[in-house]
Amino acid sequence: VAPIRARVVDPKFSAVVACVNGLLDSNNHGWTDENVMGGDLPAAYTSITMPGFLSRVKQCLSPHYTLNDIASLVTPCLAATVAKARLLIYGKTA
Amino acid sequence: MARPLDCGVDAVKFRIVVALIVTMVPGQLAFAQSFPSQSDICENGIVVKEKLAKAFLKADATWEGLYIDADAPSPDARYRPQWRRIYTDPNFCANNPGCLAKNPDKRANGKEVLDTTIAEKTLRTLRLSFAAALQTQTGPGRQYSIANFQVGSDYFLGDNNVNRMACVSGQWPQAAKPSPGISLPIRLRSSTDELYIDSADKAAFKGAKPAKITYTSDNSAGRTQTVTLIGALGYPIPLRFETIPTNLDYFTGELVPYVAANQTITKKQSMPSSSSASSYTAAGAVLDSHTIFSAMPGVNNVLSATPQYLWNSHDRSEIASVKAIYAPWTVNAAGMPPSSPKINTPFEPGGILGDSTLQLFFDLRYDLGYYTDRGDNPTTVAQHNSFSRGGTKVGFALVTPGTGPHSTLSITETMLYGFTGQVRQLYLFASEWDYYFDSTSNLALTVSYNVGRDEDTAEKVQLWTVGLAAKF
Repeated sequence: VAPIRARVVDPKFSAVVACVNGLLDSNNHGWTDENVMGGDLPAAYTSITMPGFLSRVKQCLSPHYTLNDIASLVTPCLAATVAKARLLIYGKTA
Repeated sequence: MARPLDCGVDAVKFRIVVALIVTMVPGQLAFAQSFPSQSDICENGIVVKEKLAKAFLKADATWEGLYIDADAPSPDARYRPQWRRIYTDPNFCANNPGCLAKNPDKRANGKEVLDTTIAEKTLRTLRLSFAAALQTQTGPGRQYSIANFQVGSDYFLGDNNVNRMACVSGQWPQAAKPSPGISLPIRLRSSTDELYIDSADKAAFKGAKPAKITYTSDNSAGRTQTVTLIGALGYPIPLRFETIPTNLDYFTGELVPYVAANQTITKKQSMPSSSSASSYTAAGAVLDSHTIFSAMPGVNNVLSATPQYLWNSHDRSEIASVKAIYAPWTVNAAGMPPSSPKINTPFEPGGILGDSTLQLFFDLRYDLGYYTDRGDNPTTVAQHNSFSRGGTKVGFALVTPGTGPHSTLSITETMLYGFTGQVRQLYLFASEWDYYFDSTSNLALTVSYNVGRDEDTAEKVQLWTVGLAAKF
């Protein structure tokens, strides 16, 4: 069994974090990682605006990465904290 | 304030050191942990690594299970004890029987093979999750600070002063727990225009107008009773599409069959009851689609078509109509300030408005109607010509912060040009103030004033309403 590498760089995750944080900074005053995207986040997202946010993330990630299947992310991201939403988006990024 | 990270290609120079390279991460990552409270992991102003490590492990049963099962001590002292090893040892699963588990994807002689694949996957998610949390849970505005937030799970190497994480003093306000609210599979709104807004969409829901019912009784000169009922009740049916065109980022839809009423009925003593000229009952369905074009990210184009059949209670006329509405909902691009205006999307303008949210309404609309019955009023029959009208509705809703009782001020102006029909120019000014009794935005005291012509009947309206209102 190959040993697990302990310290490596994951630029894809860095890109997801940078894009999500940048867009939150542009749309939501004083957000924190604990805010729920569709709940207590200042100017929270809705099922109408969350797809727009995700499409912005997709635009931000391209051309290096592709965010797939935005439709499947809308409901989970609305129920997720900002921290979890980043990971959900990361999981759909190729 | 979050760390200033830019979205540009150059900005991806912020290389976070995470625990592992993720060769494959599950499509639905079911973890994202916040650090525990300071009372659980802090001593003398710094984080106790052992407490943080164990608290983090407890957040996920598979992590905790691996920690318990794979308890073989590390041959390398710097990875000991076990709570440190699970985060840091690159050879955690080497010669560690606790890592062995049946691999459903690998078979030999028809039986599942025992190997460390599952355990290594668990390790990857644990370490990646911790690295992500370390990056996002520390820094300005957070309860913890660390000089090197990119250290990943190697944070656990060494004693508490190595890569020391400080517990930042300060009081963090606890958000009031919101009331659960009324959750029903149907939607109740003031008009059919807002039936596509889901009550689960809290921000947009707060700006939607509630249905209302009022009752007045005047006994000063003979008894006069007036009842006003304004509302639309719909049942949403989601429409799912398995595949969408390649030039679209997002496409979904919904069908909302409804019944609607706008009735003002007056009963004077010793006289039959009468309806106002604009009173009606209607039935129909809102078919709305949400589309985001790949070439225009950040704009959800909401297009609705509403076929409706309307019965006028005053003159018995009947109208078959179709209303089409286009409303773009925008999200700011990176780099813009959050107080910059958005169309239809609630935002916080800041300044003197503080934490209040503002919603700027804008849509384009087109009404096409055909009188199937011109009614029984000789003075209006001649005016009841089939119509086509196009124009817009603009306005705003200002919502005060909603952790408890809150209010909404909504003002809209509908402006339509009649291409055909009896009314060449239709204007309707609608203003409304609602005071909601709690954060759910379900029940309210309402005051409204409408003047102009009703969009559905084109009849003149000048109506004050004070009463109770509800939406869900």
